[in-house]
Amino acid sequence: MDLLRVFARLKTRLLVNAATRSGRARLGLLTLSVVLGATMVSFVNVVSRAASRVDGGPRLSIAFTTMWIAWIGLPFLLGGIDDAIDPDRLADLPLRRSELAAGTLVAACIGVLPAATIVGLVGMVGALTIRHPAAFAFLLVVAIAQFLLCIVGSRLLVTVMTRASRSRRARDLGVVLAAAVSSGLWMAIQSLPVAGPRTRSRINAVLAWTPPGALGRAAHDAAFSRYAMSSGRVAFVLVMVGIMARWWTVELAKSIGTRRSGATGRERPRRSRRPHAGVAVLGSPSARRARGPINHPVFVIVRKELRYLLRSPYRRASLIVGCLFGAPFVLLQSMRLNPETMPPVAAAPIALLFGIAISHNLLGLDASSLWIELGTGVRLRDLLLGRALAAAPTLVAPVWMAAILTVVVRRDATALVPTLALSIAAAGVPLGVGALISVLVPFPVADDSSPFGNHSAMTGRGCLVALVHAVGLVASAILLSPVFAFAVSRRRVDLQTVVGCAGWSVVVLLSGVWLGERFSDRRPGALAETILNGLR
Amino acid sequence: MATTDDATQLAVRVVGLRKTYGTRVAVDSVDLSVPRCSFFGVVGPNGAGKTTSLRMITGLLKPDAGTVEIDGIEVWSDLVAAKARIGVLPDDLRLFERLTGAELLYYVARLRRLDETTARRRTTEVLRAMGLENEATQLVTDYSQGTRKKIALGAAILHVPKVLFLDEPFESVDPVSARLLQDVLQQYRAAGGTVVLSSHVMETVERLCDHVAIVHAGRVVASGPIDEVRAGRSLEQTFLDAVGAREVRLEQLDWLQTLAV
Repeated sequence: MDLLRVFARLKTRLLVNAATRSGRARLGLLTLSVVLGATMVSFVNVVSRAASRVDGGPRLSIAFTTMWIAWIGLPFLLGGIDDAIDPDRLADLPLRRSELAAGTLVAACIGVLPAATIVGLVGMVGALTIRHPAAFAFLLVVAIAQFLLCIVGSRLLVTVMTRASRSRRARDLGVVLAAAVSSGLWMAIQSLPVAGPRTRSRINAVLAWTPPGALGRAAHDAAFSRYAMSSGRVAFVLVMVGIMARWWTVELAKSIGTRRSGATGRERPRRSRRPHAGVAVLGSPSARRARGPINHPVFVIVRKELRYLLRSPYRRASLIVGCLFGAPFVLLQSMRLNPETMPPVAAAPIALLFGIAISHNLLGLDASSLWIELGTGVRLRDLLLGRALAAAPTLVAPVWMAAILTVVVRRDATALVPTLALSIAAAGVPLGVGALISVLVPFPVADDSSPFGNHSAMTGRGCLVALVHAVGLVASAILLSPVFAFAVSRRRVDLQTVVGCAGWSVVVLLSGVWLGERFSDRRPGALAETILNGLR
Repeated sequence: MATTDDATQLAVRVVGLRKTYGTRVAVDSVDLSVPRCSFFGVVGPNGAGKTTSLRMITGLLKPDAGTVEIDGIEVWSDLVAAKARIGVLPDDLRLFERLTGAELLYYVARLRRLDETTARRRTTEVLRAMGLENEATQLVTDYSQGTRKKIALGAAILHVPKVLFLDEPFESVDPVSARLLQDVLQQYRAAGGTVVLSSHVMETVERLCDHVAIVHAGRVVASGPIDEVRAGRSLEQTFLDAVGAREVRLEQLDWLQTLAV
């Protein structure tokens, strides 16, 4: 118990230091608390309404499953929104497996996301108990089980994937599997409103057998005095939690004894044999004298960054996740849209938003090479523009995949070419926003071998990173709305539409780069130093 | 191979340690015998396998084959007992960046099961000994490289380990801080501790260590008391002879000559 108290105090101290020692971190923490608080109020509202209806069980399943998906999905969608205790930092301590697992579990229960989850679950218990006082004990057990399921599920996913990521192939496979499972569940939930009664009933039946779905049903059963059924479902979930916890402790113990040395936390040396090949060209006197676009610093940076897009585990994972989440999203939107009033191709700009995490952080990705690039004397403008252009494939790839899927589903290829063209034309908007954000709030992403790890863990930046992504997302969505509106108003996407969108896109991109350079009140070297310090 | 009597005199005993990554052999059948109360240097060129070996010896990386005994305890059979007897200063300092120096020492001490009073007392004493009283309330993330090494060394000795493993302890450290770290290590050794350090700075190893092992391409090519290993030569010459020095042909870098134009 003493050790658990130490873990709890350690985690609390880390959060308090993050909140009190950095104004930005404090802002991030506060905003995220408000956002998550509001989300949880909505959760309580949905749950209490559903629990008062006889046929509300499926809705409760959906609400509980959504909460669980948020827990397991956010670490690698947003780069982590909470500062988890990284077991690697405890590797040299004489802690038994059970102590390490219990300690990190206790620490994982302290933070913004756990607090918001507790608020939501306590609210759920309160709201349902007012209507069904006799069900209080059952609802309390359901809430505790859901909380444990979220914590253990997210820890298990991160630990298993971190361990799997020791090998390049296993890492990519892990990313594909995790993203496919998450997006499959998410699609199932999204499909419910548009699905027919038969499909809906099938999806509900499947969801009822998933652990979070079963807990939603258990809460509904308890509210309608079906206590035996409720107990059975909770028992099933607790068994699942037990299995997951056991699996997690085994993986945890293995993971801290297998970290590669030498090239710690980075790609193996042979993979990055020529990591900065472009920089030599960039910095050489002959290159500076050379003329022609191919030797322009912007294109040298583009070449180097594109090479990194394939080599960096984090960036490759982001691309895969963007495609596997973005493509089904656009597919669903195009199925919902009426082709007469709103061409499916209009969904293309929205899909850009799934590759957006990278475009918000142009300077923070591959941050360790930034100082070398700046040391060659390259202008910040060229650096931002080059990195923005190289990030474009991560934005358009989900759209292209979605377009191909749409063609297959609709058996109509007329929208294919316009979609591809529109996605390229619109990509400048989020990239322009990203260029500005990269300078205003530079945060580094360590090129860690695990794309699942919390890249902002223990740095106090976790909440801030989530906030930056949220702000960037909203800004990009607002700036993309003219593109969207233009595409919709034209009914069909022709060359004029694409050129119009591209014009707007270029304006936003160049404005973002120009503002980024202008708003940078520090020298580029200091900017690089800020980012590099954050990499520790 | 050491006999049973020899083994009791050894703080660390490594036999047949091996690690491969795919087809690449990082460490190949490494044998080491580190006497108690010795200052043992592990030297080798970059990529020789020093860090990988130290990580396997300290229970941070599971070996493919071989055994490691620390203070008579087989490391990979009883990790907890072995880790309780050692202190580690790794090359990649993964510290809790958002703690202050004082908090970091305190929490490490508590996680090593020192009681509250002892943890607080030793924290204060280590900060004073390392000359870090003024930096005690700063976050670790704001520390210079030298200060980070000092605080990490402090964290490694809080529980009075039997053996201290240091991976490149003086790299990126200014001479003043380096001298302070060396004084702390000498004091620790004088009190009966054993120090194992890896480095590629021959002068430092020659000055501090009484035993040395030269590692090259994952193998130990020479090991023993430092005077025996260098056999009248300097350690640097012995090292260059052992690993094979490579000369750079100037025509390979002919473009450097454009500087004169």
